[in-house]
Amino acid sequence: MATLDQLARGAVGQLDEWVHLAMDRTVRLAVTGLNQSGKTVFTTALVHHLLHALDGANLPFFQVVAEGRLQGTRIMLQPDMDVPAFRYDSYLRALLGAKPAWPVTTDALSEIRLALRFRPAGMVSRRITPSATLYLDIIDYPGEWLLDLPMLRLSFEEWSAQTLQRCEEEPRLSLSQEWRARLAETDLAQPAREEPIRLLGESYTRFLLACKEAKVGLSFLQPGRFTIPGDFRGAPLLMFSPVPPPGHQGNPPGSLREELEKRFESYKKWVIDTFFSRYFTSFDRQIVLLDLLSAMNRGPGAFADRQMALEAILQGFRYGQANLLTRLFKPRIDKLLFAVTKADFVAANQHANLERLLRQMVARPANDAAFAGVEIKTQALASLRCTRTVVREHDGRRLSFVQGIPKGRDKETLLFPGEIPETIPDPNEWDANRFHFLEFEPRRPPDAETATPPHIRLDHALEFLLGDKLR
Amino acid sequence: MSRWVPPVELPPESFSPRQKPAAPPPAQLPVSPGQEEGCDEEDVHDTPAGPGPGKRGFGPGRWILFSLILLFIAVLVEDAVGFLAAQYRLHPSLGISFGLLLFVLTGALLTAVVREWRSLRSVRAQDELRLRLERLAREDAFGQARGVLEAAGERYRERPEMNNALLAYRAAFRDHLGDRELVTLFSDVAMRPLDQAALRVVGRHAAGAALSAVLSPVAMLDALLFLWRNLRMIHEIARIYGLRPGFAGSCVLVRQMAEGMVVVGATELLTHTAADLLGDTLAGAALASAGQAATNALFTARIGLRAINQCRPVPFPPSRLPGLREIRKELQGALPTHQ
Repeated sequence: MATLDQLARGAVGQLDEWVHLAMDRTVRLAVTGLNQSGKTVFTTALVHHLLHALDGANLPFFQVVAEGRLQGTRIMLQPDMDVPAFRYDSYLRALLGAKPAWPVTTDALSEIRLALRFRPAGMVSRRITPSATLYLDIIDYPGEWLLDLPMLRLSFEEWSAQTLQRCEEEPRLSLSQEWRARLAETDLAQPAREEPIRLLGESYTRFLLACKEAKVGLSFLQPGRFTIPGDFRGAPLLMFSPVPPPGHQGNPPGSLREELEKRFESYKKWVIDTFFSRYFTSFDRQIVLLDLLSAMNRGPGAFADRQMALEAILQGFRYGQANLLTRLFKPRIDKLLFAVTKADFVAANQHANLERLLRQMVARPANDAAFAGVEIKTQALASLRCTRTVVREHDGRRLSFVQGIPKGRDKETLLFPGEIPETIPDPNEWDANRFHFLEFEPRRPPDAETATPPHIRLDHALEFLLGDKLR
Repeated sequence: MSRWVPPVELPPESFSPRQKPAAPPPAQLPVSPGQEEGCDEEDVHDTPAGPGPGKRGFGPGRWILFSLILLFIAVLVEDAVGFLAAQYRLHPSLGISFGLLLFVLTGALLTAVVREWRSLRSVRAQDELRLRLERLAREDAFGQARGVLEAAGERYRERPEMNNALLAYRAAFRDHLGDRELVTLFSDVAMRPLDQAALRVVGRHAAGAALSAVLSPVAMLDALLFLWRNLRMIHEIARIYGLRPGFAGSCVLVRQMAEGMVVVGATELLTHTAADLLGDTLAGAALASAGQAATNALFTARIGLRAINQCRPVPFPPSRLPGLREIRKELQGALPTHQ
């Protein structure tokens, strides 16, 4: 009886989902971005402002709030029982507590569902339903995992060749020395044994972690689980490495090379495919968050690497115009927002250039998506503003500084981090002293108990991503 | 020398206390949380404002025009004095009467000219304000719109219905907003009460125009009623916004009104002709009247929307232009309901 009851409940739940989808009352929002791009802070701020939209949140560009049609927002029970809940409360406590701090790097998947109750704006819809509900699902996950997406289309040989080719240029060339030496001394035709595979895998992982370090700051690092393993920590499928082409030796059965290939294929099947087919094929809106400032700090190599990584991960999503059938059976992303995050780390008068730079950086994927009929927007955004802009005379120039507490320090500073150029600079224009963007610590606003924390253009993002669903 | 300004980090002792804003906000409006949290007021004017409209020179063409006008006035005065003297010679009472009449007429004319001159000056200032805001709404500029919008808001300081809207605008203001965003914010938040009142006026007049179309028996009368109603509507809209449509705007409105009159008159004539041809059945007459009423209401609504757009000190962002949908709502409110 209990099983029948469970089945019936499951069926009713599924039917509910279908009805919401058919009525266009569910949005699955893909918050996409590489590591440290601000996905968790964005999601926390979004949830917090929506929950407090009626009691003081400053969202003048979010029409449903500005027009007084939003009746309230609640966190709902999650649709997926086996996915951890997004820890909104603890992230918020960390950000706005007595000693504010950024959340620790996300190392696992989590999910949150919000219900937004609103009065429809249209005359007809208002007469049919005086009050409607929009369900908003957001998934948070480590950005590193997204980089696995392009691997799905590659064979072990192709992936190895691409990875080794990238290692022929700096900074990968010098960082990969130890791993490439290990690779050179390993006989790949020998019978498969655990120890050489482990040594190779560990060496490759060390190389990836060195590339990821703040000083170098590379983004295109595959496989993503090697740096953030999640539930697969210690599993054999996280212990392999790219290898050079087989040459005359071929790929003998039972050899080390064959075992590495087997692990690569297992990784694709059990990690990438499972993860993406379950969570990443049902999105209908997407925000791509990009931390351009840290990439500019690190020079043309890191900037180009980030651009390449972004283009690669966006190829894995489904884009196109949505209709009733696609919503039910094959969801597609029909609105795509590219947002450069941490906009408060530069003065407000530089935001326009930041957006121009972003438009150039995402020109190719944006063009592809636009061709598929997707509505696209670019903007500068700060989910939690932690600096103020101050104008001072310096060396006879009037400069706009940012004032805040830099990360790792305890006193405020005034920083002019350099001018954001209108176009992506040529590598020879990329002087080592041209940019000095600092990360800043979050600031607890003086009225934190009563007011929502300041942001930059979060309401623009909400209006673009959800506005039409709340009419 | 490098083409870019190198990064600078200043020591904490270079922090100066907050300076007084160059242009203080109106005393009765509280400082919004965003301003307290944000930055020095001077930041907003970081980018220097564009040059104001330059004064036109007094060239030879103007001298010629000025002399001609003086000559014309002198001839008129000489002619009038001659005329009065001739009348006085005929009989003193005749001369005095004509003199008084001429004096009153000249006084009235001068008053009208001065009034029109003042109003033209305000229209020109308004056109300049609108053009500037239109430009700011198109570009990616920063730091120029705030002062211009403050000036636009100042016009409504004495209007009680605007207090809450202006307060809401100031509360929503944040120093990171670019000029385009600020214009949109002002347009959405501060202008809301005026827009609502103006849309109500348009709805009421559109409903009235529909009704007069049904009642008026003659095409000429219908066209005249249409003209009178639309002029009143424009006048009311202008009073709501405290501004008149600018020169270009007036031309557009006059053209639309002329179009409307022609269509309204023609519809009336067509209705009569159709009735003569098809016979005066009740259904036919009702249908024709309904069509005529709809035409009148539609044209009045279009002119009203155009008038709102022309009288508004801040242009509507393209995505927020009010349309016939808004008027339909107001029409519903204007029509009597039986419950």
